[in-house]
Amino acid sequence: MSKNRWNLPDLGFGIGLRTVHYSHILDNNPAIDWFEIISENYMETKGKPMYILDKIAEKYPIVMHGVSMSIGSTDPLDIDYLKKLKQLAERVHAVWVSDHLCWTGVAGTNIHDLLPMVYNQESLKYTIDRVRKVSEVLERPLMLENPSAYIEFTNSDITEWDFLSTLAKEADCGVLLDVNNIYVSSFNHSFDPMEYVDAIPADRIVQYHLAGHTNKGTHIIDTHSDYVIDPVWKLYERSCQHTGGRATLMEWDDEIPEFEVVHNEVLKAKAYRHQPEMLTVGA
Amino acid sequence: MEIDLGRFQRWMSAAIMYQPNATAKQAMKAKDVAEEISFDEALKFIKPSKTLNQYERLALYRSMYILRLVDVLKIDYPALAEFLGEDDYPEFVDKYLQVHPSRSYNLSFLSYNIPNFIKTAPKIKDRGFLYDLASLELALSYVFDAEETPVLTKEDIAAIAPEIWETAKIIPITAFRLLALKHNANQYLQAVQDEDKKLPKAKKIDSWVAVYRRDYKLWRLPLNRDAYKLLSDIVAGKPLGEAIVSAIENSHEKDVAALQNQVFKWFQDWVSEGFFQKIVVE
Repeated sequence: MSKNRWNLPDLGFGIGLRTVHYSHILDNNPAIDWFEIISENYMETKGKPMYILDKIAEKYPIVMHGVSMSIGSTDPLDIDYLKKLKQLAERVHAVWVSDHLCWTGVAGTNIHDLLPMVYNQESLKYTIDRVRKVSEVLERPLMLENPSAYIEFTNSDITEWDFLSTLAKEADCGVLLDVNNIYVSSFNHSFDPMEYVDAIPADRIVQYHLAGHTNKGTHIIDTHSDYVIDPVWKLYERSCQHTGGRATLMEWDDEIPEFEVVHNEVLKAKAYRHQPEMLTVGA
Repeated sequence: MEIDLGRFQRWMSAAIMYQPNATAKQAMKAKDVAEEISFDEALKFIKPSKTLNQYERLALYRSMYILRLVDVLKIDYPALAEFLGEDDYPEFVDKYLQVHPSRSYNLSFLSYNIPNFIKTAPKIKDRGFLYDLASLELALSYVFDAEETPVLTKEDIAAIAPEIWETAKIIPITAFRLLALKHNANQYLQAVQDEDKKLPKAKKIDSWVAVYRRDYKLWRLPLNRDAYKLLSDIVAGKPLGEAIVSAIENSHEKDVAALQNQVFKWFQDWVSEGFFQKIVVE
């Protein structure tokens, strides 16, 4: 198996920790490899969510996944936020910390959405600097996930996969590759998703996301409300041929079914893992 | 074609967040003046897809913004959403977000200004009832997220020397709020939680309630006027003796002995419910 840049472990097959599954997890201690939490859900509460997370973190590896770092925003980095993120990571012994290649607000407001970035040399340089600063504050490498997008910009002159690959190398960050997001964006923007998958350097990929989506005919919305479809499994399989497999997680955020349904869905990923082939990946 | 990234992000952010009742184009025109960027100039930077034009693509973000935050606020304010109904509640959230857009990474903070918005926003029907209902639901949110603190037990109380009680101050747990309401908001919230088919109508009535957390579960204890007065004085930091004297003096109860017995019973109940964390003797 090929290694990632930091020798971070392949945690196996996990799911996103969601409140509807708290009781099941605490009562049954299910045999699942790991959980991913939404970092912000645990950063300002000292009540039940934190109590439960502490209990779960005693038994399972935890990975933190944020939605508000806003790495692409032109607002200054929120250092207070980053310090709290670091504190939480230390508290739950997070194996790594990730967020998204996006911006979530500007001028002090937060839209609570993963807004698409302009991909050009100016924004690349800007983002590289920001990722380096974040890693300094967190004292660990940052993992960035490719987002689903519904808009592209005319002033983008770099593909998202080239942008992300260069960013990962230059800023020394990792990639959380969401193969569903690649599929969604490829549908919405009409590009070849396999080209994207093949372009991301295997040694930078630390984790995979799997999810379902909603196809509206004219566009696809990343709803995390369904099973993974075959073309997305194909993308996962392809990327695993490059990496040999990495920690893999199923996201299900709307109409969330029972724990075992979500768990069984991520376990399907085992069938798509292969030993790495000698493919040339990334320029 | 060059554009300053910050200006473009401000324009796009405004296009997503504001003017919910306008079309996407009208919304963006409304805000582009403030952002000193023309709508047509900014729109040139968005590519159409094979199936959607620039307006339609941007409108996806606008609609998801509202839908997401409507759902998020409903988590903290289920009874408010129920009272306003399927049509008026999303419109209420739209108006609220225009005055109080999210300014934090934490979605919990988004809901904190709802009671004040109800108090001050124009054209709010059933304003008084909604204010009480929102204040009650916000108190539950505060208590949900509050720090866990130790709880004073009956044994702790029994260990206190009798002569100390007069000047003792009793500190409530952090996960505790007291409310004096002018409407039947607590009754309405209970009916929503019980999924009653017929919910009570809003009506004016003085009521008092303690909101607290025990074993990480949220509870509400209705109080009468005298119990509220005593408890609010204790929570405000009055020495116990002073708080009891004040409660007796301000009570409508003529039978002082009966009231003293009642005070003793209340205090026992409050200790049993875990209202207090410690006793401070100065």
